[in-house]
Amino acid sequence: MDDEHVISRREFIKVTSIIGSGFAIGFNSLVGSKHQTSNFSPDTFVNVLSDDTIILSVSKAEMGQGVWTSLPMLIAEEMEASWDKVKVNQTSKDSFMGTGGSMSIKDYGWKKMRKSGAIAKYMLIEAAALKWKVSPLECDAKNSVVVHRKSGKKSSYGSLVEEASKIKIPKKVKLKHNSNFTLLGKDMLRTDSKIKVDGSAHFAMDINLEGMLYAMVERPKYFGATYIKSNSDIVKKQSGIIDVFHIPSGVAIIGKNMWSVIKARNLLDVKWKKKKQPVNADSEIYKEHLTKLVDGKSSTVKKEGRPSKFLSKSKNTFQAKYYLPFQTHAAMEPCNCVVNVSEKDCEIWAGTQNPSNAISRAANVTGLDEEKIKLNLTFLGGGFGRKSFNDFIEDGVHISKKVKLPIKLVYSREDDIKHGFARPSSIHKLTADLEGGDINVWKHVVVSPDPLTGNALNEYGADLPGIAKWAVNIGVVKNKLRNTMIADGASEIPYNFHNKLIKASPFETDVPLGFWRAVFNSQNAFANECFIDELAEQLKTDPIKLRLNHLNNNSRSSIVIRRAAAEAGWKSELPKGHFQGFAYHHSFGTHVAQVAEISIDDSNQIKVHKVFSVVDCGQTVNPMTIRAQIQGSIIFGLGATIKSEMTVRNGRVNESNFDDYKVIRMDETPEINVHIIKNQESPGGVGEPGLPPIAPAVANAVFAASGKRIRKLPILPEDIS
Amino acid sequence: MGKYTLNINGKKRFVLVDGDTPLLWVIRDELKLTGTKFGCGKGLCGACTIHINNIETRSCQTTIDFLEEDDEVITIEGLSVDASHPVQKAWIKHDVPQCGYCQPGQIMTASGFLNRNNNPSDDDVDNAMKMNICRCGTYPRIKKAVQSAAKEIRNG
Repeated sequence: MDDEHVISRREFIKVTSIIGSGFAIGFNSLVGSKHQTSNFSPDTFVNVLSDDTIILSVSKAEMGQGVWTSLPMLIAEEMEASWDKVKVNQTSKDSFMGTGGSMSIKDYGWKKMRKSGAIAKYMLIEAAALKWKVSPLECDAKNSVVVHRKSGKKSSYGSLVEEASKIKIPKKVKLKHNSNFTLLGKDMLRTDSKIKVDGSAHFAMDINLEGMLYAMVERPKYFGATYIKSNSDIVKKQSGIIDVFHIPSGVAIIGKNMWSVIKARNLLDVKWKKKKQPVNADSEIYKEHLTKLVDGKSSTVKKEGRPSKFLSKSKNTFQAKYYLPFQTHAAMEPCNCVVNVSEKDCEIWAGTQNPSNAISRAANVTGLDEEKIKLNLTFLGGGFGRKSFNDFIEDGVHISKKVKLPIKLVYSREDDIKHGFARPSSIHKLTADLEGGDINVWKHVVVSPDPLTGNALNEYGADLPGIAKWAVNIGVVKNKLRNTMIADGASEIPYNFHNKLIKASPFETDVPLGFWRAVFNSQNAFANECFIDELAEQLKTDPIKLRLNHLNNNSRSSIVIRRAAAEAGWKSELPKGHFQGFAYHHSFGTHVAQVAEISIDDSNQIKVHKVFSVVDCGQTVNPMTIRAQIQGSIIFGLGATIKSEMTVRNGRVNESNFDDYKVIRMDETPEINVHIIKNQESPGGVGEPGLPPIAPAVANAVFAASGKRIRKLPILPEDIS
Repeated sequence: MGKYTLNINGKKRFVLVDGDTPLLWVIRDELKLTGTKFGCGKGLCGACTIHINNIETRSCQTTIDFLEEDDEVITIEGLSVDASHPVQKAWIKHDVPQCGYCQPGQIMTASGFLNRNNNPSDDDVDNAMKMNICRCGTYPRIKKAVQSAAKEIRNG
């Protein structure tokens, strides 16, 4: 049966054209005379023009994950729009939710985009029926044409826009049943490829304004350090330099072009006052602290059965600790923005995952009302969580406000690596009771700072979403929130062990922390899935079989696991010196099982030859994008598995560029086979869930190859010898 | 500060810049050709790759005074009309781009390399393309697209 959805009066708004050549449907936040009188407003979801062109607006940030294709597909499916007449546009409106957490389809697009498409179709059919003086029930819509079944009369959408704009928005619409989809679930090429291969796609750095100046910011050498003085007088005298001044985050250098600024910056000498007692701002001290805490007190996040009772009595327990380092994002596009502050308003061009926060921070800096801040969301040259933090936009606003001219602020790669918001380094202690030859108790203690409420947050002014801010202000909730966050991917594992105990112990650090692709799932899955592999060894059973023993036979988890084993030829003969490792994880509503096939050479270098990845993300929107996201997540995660590590020494990040923060390159990329399970479950996310299983799959393969258990990342040659 | 003449994308352009200015910033800031990207500033990532006399070159490591007046500079904007170069067509066909930021550099490296070797082995492709970083992880599709472009170039 079709799903019927009520449309709230407050939800959608018809945006009528005064010249009658188009009609549009938008979200209610768009109400305003400016939008209501425009023929073509890019701030609306659906614009139908009289030449049959359909312009669909995307309010989520496109950072590579394919929302410029998948969100319009959702609208076009319900609207019965002809895909080749669809054009896509970016809007910054209605993006208050931000882009992250693999939510664009899962929690946002699935209902809202489809509803807007269904409303548009309803109105176009009504318009045709009115024109033909027939019942709308006798009309169908397909390929952007309304047809009257009895008479065979036809009208293209474009020819109906004037009438459609007079139809009232319906009180409810029916959404199509999955089995009637004609577009969703099909491989569709991206709508943004052409502009991304001819150089015309605009990232914020590509915006040029009349009279624009260029800026960089020298940030404190040490976390939490404060500015004392600088030799700005000398730097100001350099050719092409307009001004040098102190802003809250550091020292801004402004010049006529980027190169003048880069050169002058080399001469800048700033005196910083170090924070008196930096908190855990050194990898070694931090690690010692982790190690101490993991054996200390922790709070319970989840308890099932009577884990403590069994563990205290058990004569057969097994324990292992897993350590993960900091990671930075190193998106290819370093943070940057173009900002033009005047006395009346402020216009920003930026690629951000968190637009509403950017607007509120700009309003704070300028003293302007939020309505006077215009944010133009550009493409993001990768986000991976880094661009949820708008420190760079706030800097840009400070600088433009001071110089009273438009400016372009650019981070160097060194700024990007040294002044990011890292994935927290964490330690995990897992304990199992194996009495009776099976996993009777599963205990996981996670020790990690959390990115949202730590010291770094206050130091760096990263703003919280309203609800989290409220929660943090109430002390009790603060700890609960922190525990829940750092145990994400540890507390809700699908294995049905009778007795489970998940505990967490957050702590403070001055290292600025943030969300890194898959957030805590990347750390917790490594610990979970390496540990269960170790338990299989203890129990002398096959690691895949052990997992399946603890899952319902027909569960989505079992299905992806069995399929991955089949696709990879688990236990079948492999090329000489090749070994396989397995891992499975459920995150963001999606199940992923992976088999990694590796070899280890004489110098203990790991080569990952193949990865088989089976994905159940429910109803698919665009499988072409899903495969790309899973491949990308595996490659991103593989860097953190065998190469990348961010280290901190004496309150500073050691790494600075791609020569010391090493990432995966083409020649290290395995062959990746992605298989998607077909079903009609509600859609899960795909931007992140492919990442968590790769590290444990490789680590387990290293064990198979070398007999050496891996309990830390990244896996370096010295860890195998 | 000096006056320099560039032969870029088939046109003569004059710029007034310091002689030590990397071509990357001449191209982006002075000529407003923004398809060439800044990624690392150290020649490590390949996002700024352009062609000088048909050879793929890191524009962040090549200063303007290094150029001879008749050197032919090609940026992504000048690679073809309407994205019609075989490499660009292959990139679209194989749905390569994700965020897209590194892709102009990837395409300039691939097209430069295929100028010299239009029948590469998979190892040849790896060796040529490992100079360019993509953090979205589009490498598997780049691999396919380079081979598919090579085939089109071979078949004329």
